[in-house]
Amino acid sequence: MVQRVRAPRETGGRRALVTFADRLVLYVLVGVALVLLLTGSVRTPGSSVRIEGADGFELVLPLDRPAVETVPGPLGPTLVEISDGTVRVLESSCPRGHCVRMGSIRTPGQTVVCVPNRVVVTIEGDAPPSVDATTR
Amino acid sequence: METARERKGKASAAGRVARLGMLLGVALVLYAVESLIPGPLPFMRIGLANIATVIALITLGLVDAVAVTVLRVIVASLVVGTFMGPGFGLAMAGGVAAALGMGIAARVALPPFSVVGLSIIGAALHNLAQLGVLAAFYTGPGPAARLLAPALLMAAATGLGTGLVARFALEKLGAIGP
Repeated sequence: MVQRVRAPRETGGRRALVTFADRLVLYVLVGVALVLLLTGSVRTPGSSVRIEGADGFELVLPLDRPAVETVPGPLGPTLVEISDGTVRVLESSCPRGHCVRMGSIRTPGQTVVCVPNRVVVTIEGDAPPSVDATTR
Repeated sequence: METARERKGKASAAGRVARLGMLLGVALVLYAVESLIPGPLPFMRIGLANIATVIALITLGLVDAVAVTVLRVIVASLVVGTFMGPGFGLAMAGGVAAALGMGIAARVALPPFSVVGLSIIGAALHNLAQLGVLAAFYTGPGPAARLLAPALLMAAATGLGTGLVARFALEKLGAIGP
């Protein structure tokens, strides 16, 4: 930070705009924040995937291991793919395929749902869920 | 006109009430202006109203600075309609923590620190207190901890900005030297 010195006034005294102690507390604050950012970013945004199907089918898988799971449903199999920390429905036996077109999800709280084939894919983790709306 | 420094300590009770009212008005106007500025999260704000708290602290003292802050939060929430809502608790916790922290810092360490340093400390305490309330009552410690780094960065930036504004304002008021 550039140190600016105020122009002399009346007494002719010069005084820094920001004192050394001010700057110290500023640097400490930014330093702590940067350390927290660096250590915090090691954690993955979502830790696991919960796949629920018809008749109590339930599967919890880690998000960081690639896999393709077949979920049985009333209309036939639904293929769920985990790759690169994201999840998507690869193929489904449902008539419209909305679940496939929903694409990939990666943050905790996000879901892909296939209503006709009774499949719900949810990402779980302790990161704050993204905000839908705010009011004041 | 007498300067604030000359008046400090010998201001009459009526004068103090007048100053408190004026600073409360300033705080509310700054709050209103700030609420027009969009932000990423409702509780991550610039903290313009803290300028009034700093001025109250330097010209009137710790008790009056806390009074200006508490009254500002209450009146603002009554106007906006968030009184006793979740945002109210957050604003109150942050505001009181900032005012108390800056007041204590002003008593023990005003020579090494300037008003700018006080403001940075206040901003940091404001955000930390809000995250504390968030962790205790709303989201739990995990999500609040994740917001810690951005909250501290925001505090450094906004504290510096509002501190400089408070410093220039206090200079113009004659409460501190150039």
